[in-house]
Amino acid sequence: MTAVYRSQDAAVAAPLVEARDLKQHYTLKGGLFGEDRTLKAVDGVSFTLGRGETLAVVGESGCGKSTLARMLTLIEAPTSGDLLFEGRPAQDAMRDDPKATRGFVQMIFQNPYGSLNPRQNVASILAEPLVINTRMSGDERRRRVREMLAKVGLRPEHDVRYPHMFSGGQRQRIAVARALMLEPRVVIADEPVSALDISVQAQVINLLLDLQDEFGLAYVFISHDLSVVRHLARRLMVMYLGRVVEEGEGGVVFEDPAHPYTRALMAATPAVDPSARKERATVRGELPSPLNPPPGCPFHRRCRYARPDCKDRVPELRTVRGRKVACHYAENLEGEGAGTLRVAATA
Amino acid sequence: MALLEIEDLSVTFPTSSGPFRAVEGVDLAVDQGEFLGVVGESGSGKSVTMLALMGLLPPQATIEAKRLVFEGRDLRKISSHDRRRIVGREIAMIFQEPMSSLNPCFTVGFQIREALGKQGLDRAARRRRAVELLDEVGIPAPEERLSAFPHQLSGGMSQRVMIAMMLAGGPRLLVADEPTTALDVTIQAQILDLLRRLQRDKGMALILITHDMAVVAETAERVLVMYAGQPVEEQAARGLFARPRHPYAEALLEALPERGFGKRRLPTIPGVVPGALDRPKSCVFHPRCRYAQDDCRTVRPPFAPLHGDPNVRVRCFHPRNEDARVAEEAR
Ligand SMILES: Nc1ncnc2c1ncn2[C@@H]1O[C@H](COP(=O)(O)OP(=O)(O)OP(=O)(O)O)[C@@H](O)[C@H]1O
Ligand SMILES: Nc1ncnc2c1ncn2[C@@H]1O[C@H](COP(=O)(O)OP(=O)(O)OP(=O)(O)O)[C@@H](O)[C@H]1O
Ligand code: SF4
Ligand SMILES: [Mg+2]
Ligand SMILES: [Mg+2]
Repeated sequence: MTAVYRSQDAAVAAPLVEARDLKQHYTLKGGLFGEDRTLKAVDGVSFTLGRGETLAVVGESGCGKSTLARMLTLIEAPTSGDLLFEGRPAQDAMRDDPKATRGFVQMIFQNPYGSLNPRQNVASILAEPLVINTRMSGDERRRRVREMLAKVGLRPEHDVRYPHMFSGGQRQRIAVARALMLEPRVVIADEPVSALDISVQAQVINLLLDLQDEFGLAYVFISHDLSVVRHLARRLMVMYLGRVVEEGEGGVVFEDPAHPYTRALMAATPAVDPSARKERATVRGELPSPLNPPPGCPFHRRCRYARPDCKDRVPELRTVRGRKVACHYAENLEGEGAGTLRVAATA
Repeated sequence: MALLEIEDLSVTFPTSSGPFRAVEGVDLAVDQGEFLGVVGESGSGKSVTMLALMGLLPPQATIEAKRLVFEGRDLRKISSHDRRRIVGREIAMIFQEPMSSLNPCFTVGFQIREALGKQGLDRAARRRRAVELLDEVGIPAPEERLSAFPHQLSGGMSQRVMIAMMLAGGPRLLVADEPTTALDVTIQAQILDLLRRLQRDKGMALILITHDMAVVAETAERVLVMYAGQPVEEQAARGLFARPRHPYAEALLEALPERGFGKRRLPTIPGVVPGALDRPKSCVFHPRCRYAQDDCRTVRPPFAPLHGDPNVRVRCFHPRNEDARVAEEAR
C-alpha cells in the first residue's frame, strides 16, 4: 500500500503525528447581561505517535476526547498549539495540498447508525472520498471499493446494499472501510466499539488490529472502556476536564497508576470475576462543570488524597516512576493498590 | 416461596410480515431480597420480558404465560385496579433512559411527592419524606434539590432521583433496566453501590437488566442469560463466570477483552444474531454453535435443570464444562 501523502521535507525521524500543547477554548456568548465565557474543552495536550503505534485516550464524558479528535483530523483548528504531520505543520500541509493531507489522517465515529448516510448505497459511501480527493476512473474506484469490502470482511457483492440492510457490527465495518479508502497513515477512532454488543465488539477490535498489522496504521483510539483500551493500546493518555492527568506505557500505568483519577477510574471499572468482588473505593462527587473548573488541581474536590495546597497550585505534568503524571503527591499516595484494575484470571 | 414466579412467558408482536415472537419460553423466579441479573445482547428480549411483567407493553402485544405470580397473587387474573396497586408500588421499575422518564415540566420535589401518593400523609409530611428519600439515594443538599427541574441535573443525579421515586412506594421488587448504561464509569460505580445497598438494607429483591457482563459479575447473586428472545442459561454468578454451561454464554465470556488478556486477537462468535423472522425452530443458537449436532438442528432443547440440579438451568443438548463437574464430584 502506497501512502497518498508524502511530505517533502520531513525529517526521517519525525513522528507521524506530533501534538504540542494543543488547546481548544470555546467562547460562549453571554446572556442579556452576561459576559462571554470561555470553555476550555482541551487545555494543553501534547504527544507523539509513530507508525503502527496505538495511543489510547481515556476519560469520562466531557473531558475533551472528541474535541481533540476534531483537531487531529483538521475538522477544527486549535485555539493554540502546534500539530505536526511527519514534522510539518498540519496547517501548511493542508494549505499546500489539502487532498493529500486529508488522506493522511482519517476518522471513525462512535455511532455506526448515525455516521452513514441512509440514502447512499455502500458502493457510493465508500467511493465518495475517492471522488472528492483523487482523479481515479469509475472502474478503478469500483475495484477499490470491492477490495476494501473484502478487507473488512464484508461480501463485495453487497456494495449495492444500503446501511439499514446491515447489522450494527457490519455498519461499523463499513465505517472502518470508508476511513481507509484514502489509505491513511493515521486513523482517529472516537469510541468505535462503544455502541456494539460484546460479540460484535470483539470482531471489530480484531479487524482494527489486523488492519494495523497489514498497513502499519497508527491509531489514536478514544474510549471510556479501560478493558478495551488495555487490550488494544500500548500507550495510554488519561484526560480530566480538558487536561492530561497521566500518560505513559499501558503496562506501567495499569500496573501502578500514579494519578488519583486514574486509580479512581480503574477502581470503578467492574471486573468480570464474581469471586474477586471487593468493596471498592468509589470516587465521590460528580464531574465539575467545565465552564467553572475548580482552581488548583482540577480533581482536588473528588480526590481522596488531596491536601490543602492542591486547591491552590495547578499540578504540571512531570515524570514519576517512568510515566508522566500531573499530581503534586504522585510519589506518595497512601492506600497502595486501591485502584489497580482487576483482570479476571482466565477460567 | 418465591416472591415472583414467571413460567413460560411469551410475547408476540404483530408486524407487517406476520407475528413476531420477541420473547418465548421465559422461566424466572426471584426470592425475597434476592439480586438477579439478566444479561443478553441488544434485542435479546430483556426489556420486553420486564415490560410484559409490568403490563406496560402496547395493547397490540400478545402476552401468554403459564404462571405469572407475585407474592401468591396471579397477575393474569387480578383486576386492573389491583394490578395498578401492585405495579408501580410493590413492583417498581427504572427504565433504560433516565432523562425521558422524568417529566421535564415539573420539579423534582413535585414528582417525588406525586410518587408518594396519599399514604395518609399531609403536605409537610410528604415534603419531609421526599427529602428523606433524596438523602437516602445520596443526593447532596436534598432540601435545595426539591425545587430543581430535571434538566438542571446531571445524568447520575437524574438516575438517583428516579431511584428515589421508585422507593417512594416501598417496593418489594425493583426492576432496573440498564440503569447505568448512559453513565460514566465512576458514576456507574456509585449507582451500582447504591442499588446494592438498598437491596441489602431494605430486603428488597432486585432484577438488574444489562448487556454488560462485568456489571452483573460485580453485582448479581444469580444470572439469567438471554439469547434471541429465550433464556439459555441460569445459575449463580460465580458458577456462570467460572464454568458457563451454555455454548453461547461460554463464547460471550471468551469474547470479553478482559478474558482475552495476553492474546492479540479475541475469540469471536461466527455469524450474527438471527433476525426477527429467521429464528430457527430448533436450538436458536445452533447456526453459530461450535458444538451443534443433528439433534440441535431438529429439536428445540428445553430450558431444564442440569443433571437434576434446580440451581443450574441450561437450554442445550450438549452443555459445556462437564469435565469440571466430574472432577468436582470425584473430590
Ligand atoms: N462547539 C462547542 N462549543 C462549545 N462547547 C463545546 C463544543 N464542543 C464541545 N464543547 C464542550 O467541550 C467539552 C468537551 O467536549 P467533548 O465532546 O470533547 O468531550 P468528550 O470527552 O468527547 O465526551 P464524551 O465522552 O461525552 O463524548 C464539553 O464540556 C462540551 O460541552
Ligand atoms: N413494540 C414492539 N413491536 C415490535 N417489536 C418489538 C416491540 N418492542 C420490542 N420489539 C422487538 O422485540 C425484541 C426484543 O426487544 P427488547 O427491547 O426486549 O430487547 P433488549 O434485550 O432489551 O435489547 P437492548 O439491550 O437493545 O435494550 C427486539 O427484536 C425488538 O425489536
Ligand atoms: S443445543 Fe446444540 S447448538 Fe444449541 S447451544 Fe447447545 S450445543 Fe450448541
Ligand atoms: Mg466524545
Ligand atoms: Mg432493553
